[in-house]
Amino acid sequence: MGERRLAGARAGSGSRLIGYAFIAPFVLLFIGFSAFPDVYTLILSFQHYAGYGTATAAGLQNYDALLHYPVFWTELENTLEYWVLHAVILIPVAFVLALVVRSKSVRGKSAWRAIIFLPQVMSIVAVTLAFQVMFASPSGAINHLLGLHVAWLTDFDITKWVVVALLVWQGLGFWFVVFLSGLTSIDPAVEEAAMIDGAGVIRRAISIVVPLMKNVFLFAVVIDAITSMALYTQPTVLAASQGVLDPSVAPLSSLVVVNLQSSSFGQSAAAGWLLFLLTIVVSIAVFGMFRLLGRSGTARRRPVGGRRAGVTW
Amino acid sequence: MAETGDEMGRAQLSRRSVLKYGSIGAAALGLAACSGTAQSGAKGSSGTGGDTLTIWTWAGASILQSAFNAVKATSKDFAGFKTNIQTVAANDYATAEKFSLALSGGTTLPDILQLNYTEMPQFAAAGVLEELSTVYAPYSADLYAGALQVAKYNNSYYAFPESLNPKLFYYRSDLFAEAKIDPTSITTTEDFIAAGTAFHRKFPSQYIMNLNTEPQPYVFGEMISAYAPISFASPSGSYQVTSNPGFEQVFSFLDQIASAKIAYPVDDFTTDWPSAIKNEKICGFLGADWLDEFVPGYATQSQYGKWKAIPWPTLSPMANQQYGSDAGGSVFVVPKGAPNSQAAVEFLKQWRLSPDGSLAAFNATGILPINSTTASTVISSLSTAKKPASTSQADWLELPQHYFGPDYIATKLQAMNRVKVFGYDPSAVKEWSSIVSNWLTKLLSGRASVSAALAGLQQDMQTQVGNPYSNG
Amino acid sequence: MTAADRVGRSASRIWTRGLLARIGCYALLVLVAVIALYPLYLVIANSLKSNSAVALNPSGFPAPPTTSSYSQLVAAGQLRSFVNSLIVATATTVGAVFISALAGYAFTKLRFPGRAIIFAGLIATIMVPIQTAIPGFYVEFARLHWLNTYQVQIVPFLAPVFGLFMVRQYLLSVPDEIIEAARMDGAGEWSIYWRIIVPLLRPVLAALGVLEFLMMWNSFVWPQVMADASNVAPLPVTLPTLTDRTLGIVPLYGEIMAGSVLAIVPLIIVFLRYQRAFVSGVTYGNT
Repeated sequence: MGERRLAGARAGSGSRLIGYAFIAPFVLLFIGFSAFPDVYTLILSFQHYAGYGTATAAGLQNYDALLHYPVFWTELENTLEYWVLHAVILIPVAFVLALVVRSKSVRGKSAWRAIIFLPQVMSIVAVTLAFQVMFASPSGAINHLLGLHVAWLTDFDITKWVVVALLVWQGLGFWFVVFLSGLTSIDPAVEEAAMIDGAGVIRRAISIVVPLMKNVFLFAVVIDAITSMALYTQPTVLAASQGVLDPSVAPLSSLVVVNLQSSSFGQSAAAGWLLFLLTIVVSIAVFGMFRLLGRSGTARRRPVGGRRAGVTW
Repeated sequence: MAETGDEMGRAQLSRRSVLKYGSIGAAALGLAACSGTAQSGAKGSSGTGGDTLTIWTWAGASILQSAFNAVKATSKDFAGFKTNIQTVAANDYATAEKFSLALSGGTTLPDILQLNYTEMPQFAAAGVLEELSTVYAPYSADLYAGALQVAKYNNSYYAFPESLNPKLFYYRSDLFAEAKIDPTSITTTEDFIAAGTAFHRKFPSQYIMNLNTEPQPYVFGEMISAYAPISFASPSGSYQVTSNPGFEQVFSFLDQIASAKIAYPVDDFTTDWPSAIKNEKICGFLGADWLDEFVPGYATQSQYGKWKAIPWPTLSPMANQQYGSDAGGSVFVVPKGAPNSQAAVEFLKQWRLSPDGSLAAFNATGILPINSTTASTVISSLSTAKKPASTSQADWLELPQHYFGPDYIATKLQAMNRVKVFGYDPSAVKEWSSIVSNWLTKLLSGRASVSAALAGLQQDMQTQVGNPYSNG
Repeated sequence: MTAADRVGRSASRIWTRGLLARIGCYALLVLVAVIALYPLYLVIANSLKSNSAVALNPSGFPAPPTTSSYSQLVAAGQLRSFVNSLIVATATTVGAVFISALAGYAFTKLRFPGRAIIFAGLIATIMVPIQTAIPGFYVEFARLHWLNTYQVQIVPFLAPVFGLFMVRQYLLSVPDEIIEAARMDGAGEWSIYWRIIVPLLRPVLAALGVLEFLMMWNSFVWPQVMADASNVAPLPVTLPTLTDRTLGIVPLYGEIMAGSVLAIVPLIIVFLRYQRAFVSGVTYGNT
């Protein structure tokens, strides 16, 4: 016992220096290229700066200006819409797909898995450009194929749905894989027990899978939410004309870039920090929602028959 | 949860492949170190012997080169001069951004910077441009009044106009004649709407102009410039969009055009615009002279000789719309602290201000001089010019002086006298490309009334810009 | 009747609608497959048409197929953009994997003062989107003269916090005894790391590598703001700018689709070979 402690102490003092040496590249890079710019941007958000010349102090004016800017609120709304709409469509579809692919009646599972996952591997900008070819009007592929004359990308109420469709298409693989791994990790005995009690496929899946997968599910939702708050590429490449994306379809990130391009570094910085704030708020909301659902889920779980079959969870 | 290396199968990174990729990575970083800076300003010449003037532009580098050579030949003072013309960006405001960047990064500044007039005030106000009042003194009497406006910010001279863009109404004279519409008899906005309605009734798939819901901001700029001197904010910095009636009148007219549906629903510089011109959907333009660079190419030979240009109708009750311009035009400025700033000023003076230099440039490139005294020389030289062997007949005919009829150049030169410029301020880029374009879209798509759009414009400018004359 | 019989009986009861269910399943899968693959088909098919042919017939088969769009793409210098993408993505991936692995190991298995605080500080920033710090970055890189270079596209991404996280999560389930034993045998820390830890880390490093590569291959807003000069810009930035040579405005969709093939197809081929790593990577090592 004493030897072990001695050895540990010896290793401890030697590895202290090694520890710092090992983390040094990471931490130094982090300080120079993550911490420093973050802090500097925060400082910039309290200044007026054109990118050249002198910076003048501005207090909270940049934040004030943004919060009074209708475009800010429109783009905030758009960002939330894109997130919620695509998630609400995507998650059930991916879940059903995972059920289907996993079920006994389907052959060629690995081929289907590869196909469904493929969009995850395809370059985001290239796919968005393909969607542009698909939804251009008058001479886009969809209009051409179906004989329609819909102004997909110029009628902004419709354009938002095209963006959602693109996000759903691109996100399917991610969620599918998350659900599939959750489904395949379930002990078959638990499932059979439920089957004996007459629970249908979907009921079984929801009542067994969801609670067991809660953590992975939560993780996926949070990652998806964080990425969705930072949305920029798809709407911009899809619908900007002459480099300008109309605010009624633009996400919040656009404000950061647009302000930078018109030499308002202070406002660009303030917009960026408000975006970060939004990300935190949304993440907390997601965690909170899971807490709530978790609590009510416990009450609902009992009648499925787990107790009768002797399975507890 | 940890799966072993075996389970991952062939997805393992073997030590060898790590080394292989590692060396690629190292090579990449080495390459990166050598690549250095891309296009941020070449160094100026050593200054001994000749001066190499570095020029930053976004298009037409070869035209600038020809003009440079022609101007250089006009005086032996420029015997040792060379030029390094760089296309640094895809459009004018990206070029302005690159310049901002060079200023903030402390890299070498270009000797000559080409900008659109809208981007000049921000740099002039920041004091980073050479001031040119003494240079202009001997020439001002000879220059078009509009040219002098384009050269100035806040009553001091900072720029050499590269081109002056007067407003012109281009129209299909054959179709107008068939519809029995005489464009010269249109004087009021109502006349114009009536003419547009009649034209569309006669030709159900064709229109006398184009306008959709996302126009370029200059559509608004062309009309409001007729009210010059006018700007968004008063000299003290308070915005006057809701108090100055001119803005309301222009917005109302645009609103009327949209409601009357007399415009083909496609905006300039969108992907469907060229084909709309080719397919004769658009049979007229309330535009500016630069259209003569695009229309012949898009309309092609089939519409040769059918297009004419006249001054805009006055369109009362608005201010006389024969006057004004599209955003002034593009300009050359000389940054303070550029390696060869003095030589650049001298050269630009010869190129744009002196009649000899500007005529030489005109002969080489077709860029019109801004000296009113050269007008007759320009007209006669154009009318006597012969087609060079290297130019095809089709290209020859597509040149503006042939495509739009024999009177076209005279009309265009005449129109230079009517150039008036809107008072752009240092926050012009933000005002026009974000705020104006946003409210223009809302107005034209019916989501905001005229008064709501004006109020929105005023409000957004107040909160987003504050005082345009005193910001950093 | 045994439990197995009972399961069998209820199983067949459930699946009496079996044929219908089976048809339904396959129908759904085929529908999803068509939707998933259609854009890929579109990109490939349209890349084999000339620019004007795409405008006339965007949805059909190229008739006849031509490589004119590809040759025009190359003439427009887009191979350079492809190479730029490759250089940036590869260099960043290799660097990030090395650096994250080293730091991840240290944070998990080595002891040093301040370890917890430093780690917490790093993890706390995981939610900060890259856009938030763009103005600050821009000024920093302007001063360093790094704008429009390769390093501006590579260096900021060499220390990804999620990479640290992934490595740590993985190492938590590796027992300390192995390391202790090696130490008692007198092995140096560096060789412990290289000989014992790195081989163990292969799966998570593969996943991290894939994730990092995909991220860098897809990056758009960063190079657009920091590095859009044609000699360093990657494909996502240059492709949307391919417009009519003389008169501008109109996008040259044939060339754009040809460029998209370049952006998409090589990765698909690699994916088909290394599927596990891709799946694991994209889900942050969670599956």
